[in-house]
Amino acid sequence: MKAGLLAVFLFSVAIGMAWAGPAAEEGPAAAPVAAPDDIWARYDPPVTVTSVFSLSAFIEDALNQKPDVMEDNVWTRGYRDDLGIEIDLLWTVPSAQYDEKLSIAIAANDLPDVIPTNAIQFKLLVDSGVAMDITNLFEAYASPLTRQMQELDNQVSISQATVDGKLYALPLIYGNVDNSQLLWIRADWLEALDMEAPTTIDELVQLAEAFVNDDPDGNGEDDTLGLGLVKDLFSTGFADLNGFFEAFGAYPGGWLEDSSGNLMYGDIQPEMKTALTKVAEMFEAGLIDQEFVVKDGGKVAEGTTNGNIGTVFGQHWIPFWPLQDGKNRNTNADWRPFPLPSATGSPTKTMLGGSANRYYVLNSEMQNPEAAVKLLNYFIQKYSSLYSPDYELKYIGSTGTGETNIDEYWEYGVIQSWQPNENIVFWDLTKKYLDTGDEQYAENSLIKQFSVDIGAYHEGEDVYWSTYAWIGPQGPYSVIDGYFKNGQTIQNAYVKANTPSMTERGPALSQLRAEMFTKIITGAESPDTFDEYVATWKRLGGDDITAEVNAVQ
Amino acid sequence: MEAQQGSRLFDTLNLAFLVFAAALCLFPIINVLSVSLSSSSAAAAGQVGIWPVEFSLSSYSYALTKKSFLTAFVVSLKRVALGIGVNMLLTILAAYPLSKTKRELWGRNLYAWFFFFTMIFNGGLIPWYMVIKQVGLIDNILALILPTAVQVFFVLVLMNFFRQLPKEISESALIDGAGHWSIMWKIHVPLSLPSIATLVLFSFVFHWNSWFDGLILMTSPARYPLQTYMQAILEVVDPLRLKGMTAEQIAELMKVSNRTLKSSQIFIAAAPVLAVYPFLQKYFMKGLLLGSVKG
Repeated sequence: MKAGLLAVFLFSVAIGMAWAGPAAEEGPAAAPVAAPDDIWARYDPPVTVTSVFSLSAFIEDALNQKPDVMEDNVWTRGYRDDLGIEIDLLWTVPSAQYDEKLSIAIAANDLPDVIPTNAIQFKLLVDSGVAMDITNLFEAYASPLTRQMQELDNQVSISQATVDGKLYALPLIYGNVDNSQLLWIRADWLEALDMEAPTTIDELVQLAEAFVNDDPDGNGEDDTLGLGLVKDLFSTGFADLNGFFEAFGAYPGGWLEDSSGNLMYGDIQPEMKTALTKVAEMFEAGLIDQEFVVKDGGKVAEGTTNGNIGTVFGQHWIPFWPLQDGKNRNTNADWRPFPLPSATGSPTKTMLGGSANRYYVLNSEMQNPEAAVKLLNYFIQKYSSLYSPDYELKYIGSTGTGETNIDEYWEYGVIQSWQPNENIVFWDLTKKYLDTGDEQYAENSLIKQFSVDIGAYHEGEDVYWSTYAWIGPQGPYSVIDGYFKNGQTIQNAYVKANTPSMTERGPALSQLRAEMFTKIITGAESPDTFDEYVATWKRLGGDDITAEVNAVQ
Repeated sequence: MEAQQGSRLFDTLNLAFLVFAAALCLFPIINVLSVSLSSSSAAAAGQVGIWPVEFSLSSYSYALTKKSFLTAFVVSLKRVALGIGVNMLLTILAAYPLSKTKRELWGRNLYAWFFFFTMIFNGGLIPWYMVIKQVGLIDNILALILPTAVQVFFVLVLMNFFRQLPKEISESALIDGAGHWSIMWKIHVPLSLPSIATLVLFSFVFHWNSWFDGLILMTSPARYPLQTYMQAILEVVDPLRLKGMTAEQIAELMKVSNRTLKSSQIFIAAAPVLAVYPFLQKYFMKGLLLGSVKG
């Protein structure tokens, strides 16, 4: 009886394991791919490519108006008529739930031909042998424009999609220009106190003191803070400390080259200690929320909305959330982006990280894998309004023309890739168009749309403030453009997929950093504990990670 | 006298503790209700506590005209109606025979263990998914109902309730010529209404609140039940996806980050559960069995 039960148990375990996912094995060796006569050749008869799709808020709304919009839109029609490719979406899911749903599909090995993944899932598919080696395929089928996009991107995203010298995915380039850190300040508070935007960290501290003590909002109450800060400390893009640390030449989470060309981890450099000491001083002086250790982004956002916080470090997008809420609440709230101050005497360099937003992995069982490269070429050809002679407005979206066709929009593209520096160019064109009114700058429909929105803001419609603050003449791209012109950027030297030790030890080490840094900032430990932290970090796997990163490089 | 004082002190402290505990549970609900009834800018500024600030019903009128929300609501209603029916039918059909002794039902213990085994062991998420996929239930509302059709916990509860019904009742019914079928439907079920009502409530809450199976087993948001839909809107938006946004998208994003709208949808989604509790309350009365057996 017992033996029988055991057998049943073992049997079910075995079945569970058999179903638990694809066994790790080497992918098939890549065969050389002959260069095709015509990379744009249409399939006849048409072929079908299966994929899955993450639905944005826009598309979810469109589905309410046209339930079959995913099967019938400007892109699927183009794929069918121009390329002879039919798209079959196995499932669609709201973007917030995409990663979770895909993880289940990966575990069950229930995957389509083209699998859009994040960095972790990409590595998983490479390790398990699902991802096809497309090095030669990409070489043979990539269009001239596709290659040009890779060059504009400095090959960063291609390098992210490459493991052991083999390309395993078509990366979605979003451009790491948008990683840039900025200092956002309430300009109306500066004006009220007759102060200038800080250029050094000491001036930033003085500004914070003034914001705390001198009642910048003029309501007679002692209710303002010097600097908004979230409990996660780094890499939230809003109210984090990345920009502050960069002022000291410290790059949390980044990899830097030392003088002999070896890579070293930003978290353990001596500059980190100097920066941490300064933050701890600011905390002790009451310039930072004394309860920041329990405040997430949403809680800090309440502070920027109700007018308690007038200074945060953040990225280009924060006008949309949460600063717009503050503008709705108080029409005088005038948040402006400024270049990062410096603590070292030399101009601060902001760190540019990875450039791939999604990885389109091709299933090694896919028939006609070149169809995927064709889909990518096609997207770039029709979408890249700045570089492609073939770009068509209807593929991007006919906004700004007064009539909107719900099924004509760039988000329906099954394989996408954006123009690496497009936001800077959009900013530049919008500025020129607003200055001169010359129609040649507004050939791209988005420029016209931005100008209309900015005009509406100037007419007093505060809901359009975020567009103005994001792409307007004095917006973040005026600052970021300056970073590039003055050489104030530094490329993160390691942006590839996680190494084995990173996967294994990374979470524990991040936890260690979060605990140690929070203790140092709140004064529970002296800044000298940092040296102890460095030793612990190395011992707990940091040295292994450094060795592996240098080996990959 | 002293003892009385002691017990009065205990009562007071006990009462204070219970009121405090109840307030702890109630406050978040009241806060969500107040946020949903406030203006969105007051909610974003974190100024709403127990009372609504700048009273507004606009979030409700928006939520109630949002097609995807209503579709999901209907899916959930269907799921609950079907789910409770299947759950209760199978629970009763399984609990009645299992409530008999070993002598009355041959192999009764084997059956009981067969059910009980599934409470402790299960195949895990992926095998579960594969089975449902292989039997072709993906995208079918039955996929949300059949995998949990027999809730063993319900069976155990009802079985124990059936067991403590006085044997004399079913014996006298047997003598009067009733079969097991009539005894089950005409005696056991009516006498067990309090316990069945409780199980209906459990089943209702279970089906109403499940979201994960909807996410995994449905291939399109149009077939999502309400809580799967809610989970998507309550997740944080990825800021990296804000590139090249158009005015419509910005407007849409603002709706997504809009706390009053989220709160109103939370509240509408919770309303049926809140409404059903008092309705089922009357079945929880004791003493249904008083006087059924004399002597």
